[in-house]
Amino acid sequence: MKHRGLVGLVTTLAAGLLVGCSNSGSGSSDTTKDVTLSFASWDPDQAKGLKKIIAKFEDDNPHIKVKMETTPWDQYWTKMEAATTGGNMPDIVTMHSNESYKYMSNGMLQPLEDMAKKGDFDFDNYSKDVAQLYTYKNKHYAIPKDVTTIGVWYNKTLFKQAGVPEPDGSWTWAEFEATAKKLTDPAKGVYGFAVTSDPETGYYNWIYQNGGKIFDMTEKKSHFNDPKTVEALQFYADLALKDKVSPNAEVLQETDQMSLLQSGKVAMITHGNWMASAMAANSYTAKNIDVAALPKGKKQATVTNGLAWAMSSKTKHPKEAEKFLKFLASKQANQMQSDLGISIPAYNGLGQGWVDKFKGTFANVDAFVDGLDYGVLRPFSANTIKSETLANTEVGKLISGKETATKAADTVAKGIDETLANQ
Amino acid sequence: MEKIRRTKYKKDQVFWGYLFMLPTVAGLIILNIKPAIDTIIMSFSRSTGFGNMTFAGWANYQKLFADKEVWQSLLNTILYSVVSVPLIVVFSMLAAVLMNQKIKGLTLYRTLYILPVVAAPTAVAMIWKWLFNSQFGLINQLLAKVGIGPVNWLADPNTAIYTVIIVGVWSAIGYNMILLIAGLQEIPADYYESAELDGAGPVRQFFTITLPLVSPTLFFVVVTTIINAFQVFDSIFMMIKSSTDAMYKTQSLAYLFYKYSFILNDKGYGSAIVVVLLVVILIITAIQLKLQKKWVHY
Repeated sequence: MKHRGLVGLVTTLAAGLLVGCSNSGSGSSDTTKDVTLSFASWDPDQAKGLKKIIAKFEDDNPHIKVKMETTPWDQYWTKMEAATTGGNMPDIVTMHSNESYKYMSNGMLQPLEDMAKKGDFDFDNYSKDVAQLYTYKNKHYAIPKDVTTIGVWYNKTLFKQAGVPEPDGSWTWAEFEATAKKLTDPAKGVYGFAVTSDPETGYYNWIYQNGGKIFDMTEKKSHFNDPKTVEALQFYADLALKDKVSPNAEVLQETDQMSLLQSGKVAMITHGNWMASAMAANSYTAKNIDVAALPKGKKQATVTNGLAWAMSSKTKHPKEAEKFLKFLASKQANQMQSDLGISIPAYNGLGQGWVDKFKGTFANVDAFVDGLDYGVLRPFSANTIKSETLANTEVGKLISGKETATKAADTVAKGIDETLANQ
Repeated sequence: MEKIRRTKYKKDQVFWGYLFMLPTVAGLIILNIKPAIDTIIMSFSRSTGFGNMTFAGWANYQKLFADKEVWQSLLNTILYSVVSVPLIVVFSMLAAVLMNQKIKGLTLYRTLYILPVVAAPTAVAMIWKWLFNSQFGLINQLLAKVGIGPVNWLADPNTAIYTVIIVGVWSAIGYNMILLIAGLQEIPADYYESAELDGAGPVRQFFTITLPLVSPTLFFVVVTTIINAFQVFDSIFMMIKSSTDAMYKTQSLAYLFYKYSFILNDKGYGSAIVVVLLVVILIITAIQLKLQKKWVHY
């Protein structure tokens, strides 16, 4: 016990020395010297494709090496914050709208207006919605990377077994409900749908389809108790509580909806287009799964969101980092993102490559790109995570029947207003 | 006395003494004491991210005392400790006494008991999570064979905390058993021999010889087990889904600290929670140090 402190300290000192040595070699930003950029991302399904984009960049710029580190989503932001606080933020980072406000408002990201002025890229080329997510006080802080939409992933085989025609994407809430009922067979333990407390892939979509509102950056006020929002939440929860077309909330807490779809226990789930690579890589899902557009409520809607690439404001190699960011922003790199099936690029009009990549596996995969036309941006505020965590907790109570829709919505609205007022 | 000691140690010896202490002291200050002080300072601030803070006075503590979630977590933590600590102490003692006998395959048994200590806690929690799964888990399959209907081990708000306790007890026995075996082996065998001559049975021997003589070790085990129980985090984090009712009724103060500091990015409030936890542990440990005179025989 006594020695542990000593050994720990010696190890720390030794490690410190080693790190010190390796850093001193790459401290300059001279373009003729070899430079290694660090690049952070979280999605292992995208990593393979991103490596190809990096390889292309390294071929064109032999003196720059890009070291990509893929950290799982659950640890990505904890790690990123620790690294940033300690002054070791990676040179180029993948950003998400949940966290971007904090990084932008604390000056951790490099504003990109100068690069745009130089003509390195033009923000008009990218999805306006996504670009807006990464704008703070009228300055852009990140290059939109991709756009995402939500659709219904369904099990063709279960549809066939139940004798139900496959959806063509033109369905309404009522038709969806009826389909889910026909697919449900409690005796076999098969359910038509999975009602979850996930926001982006779950209840947000139903709220938007009903014309409801969630919260808004510009207003400092939540609309979670808007009657249309409450109505949508009620319908969504009733799928589980009244129609009983979903496994109960407790089952879904232990086993996520994707596993239930993959094991043939649930016939339909709502999930993002970013699942395509994983679905295509799994031989069961590749064979049995297809996609349809989300059902229409009062209107057609899906949540859209988008990731972005940003540059640390404290990078030791600003010139090289700019070069890499410029390449990531280019039409060429976005075309590669699309063709390699990494994601639907945020660069306007390049979605076809992504569709072609998955068309052979999922016949209706176009539904995701079509969704961009009627997509509504994921709600975003100065503290998205706090608002969303509260909403998830209350919706969780609602779908397990422990809370009414009105009461849950009121609690969320009150909590979000407090959070926004304190910013 | 003082004067003699002063002259006994020469100046350069004192220098070397301090030099040898330096690594440990520096480690303690850098890794333990400074962060602790920083945390207390942080609990009086509102954080805006990346270590930037503004002074907030007592705001975090005012919010904390009115926060139902904090009280529920304190209650969960106390429930966890009250149930798990006696179980851990009794089972560790039992295991230690059994492992201290001369039986066949002793090394094998000891290895089996120590395995949970060697395995990484997160990996252990993952495997228990599979075992406890209400649909596909092995435990429910076995229970179904004897006619006990599916138990919602991880998602039922009233059950989940006991599931976490089971895992906590299981993983703590091995380590405490080792400590207690070491304590048991210090007891001279002659005591037992003379007790046997005087006609004391094994039960009498245990309560009049073993227990009093192992009490210093047992005291250490009790104190550290209680502290560990109050700091329970990893099994809850790994096994229970966040933002659910089950989590609300299971989360410990340590988990709540993690939630506020690292998920919700409210480091000031998170620090205030952990300061409360520190005060609770301090009080309990102080009480135990007072009580030890009553039952610990040095």
